[in-house]
Amino acid sequence: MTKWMVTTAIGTISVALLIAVPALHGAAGLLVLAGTAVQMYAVARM
Amino acid sequence: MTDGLGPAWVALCVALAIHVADEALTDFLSVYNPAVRSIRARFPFLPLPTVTFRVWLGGLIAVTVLLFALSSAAFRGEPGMRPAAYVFGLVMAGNGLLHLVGSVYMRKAMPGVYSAPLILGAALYLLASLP
Repeated sequence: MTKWMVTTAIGTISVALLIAVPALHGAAGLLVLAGTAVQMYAVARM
Repeated sequence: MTDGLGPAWVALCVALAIHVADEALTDFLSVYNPAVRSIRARFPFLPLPTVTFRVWLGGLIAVTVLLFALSSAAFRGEPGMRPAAYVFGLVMAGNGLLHLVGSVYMRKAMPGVYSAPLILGAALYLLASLP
């Protein structure tokens, strides 16, 4: 349960950063999104 | 010329602080120290140190405080902050990617992977803020 709360919190902050920062509205943002997906995949396998 | 550097610098400092807490809480050294011993056994010429928790966390806190202290220089757009931001951004982007790639490679969540997307995003933000 805790792992998903932490993952959701960090994921929410990452997505908020993606939306708020115009510099991340491109390939860099896609990389961050991919990183978040990988993170969730890794946590799911714990 | 460096108008956007201040907020991006502070954002990466905050992300680093969260990342250090993440690594400390998920026992990063239980992965790092055995990995270093294994690498040194194979490549003895590499000067990679093993560290105790106290030294490791103390060092990272000191570095994080120092980086936070440079925030005002980043907001002022001091010339020296440009190369510093390149180094800080590239090292932290690599750090975040290593945690993510390591987790996929090991097929489990490695210590520090919780905050890896955050530090990656903040590092790219800082690099993109550079003129």
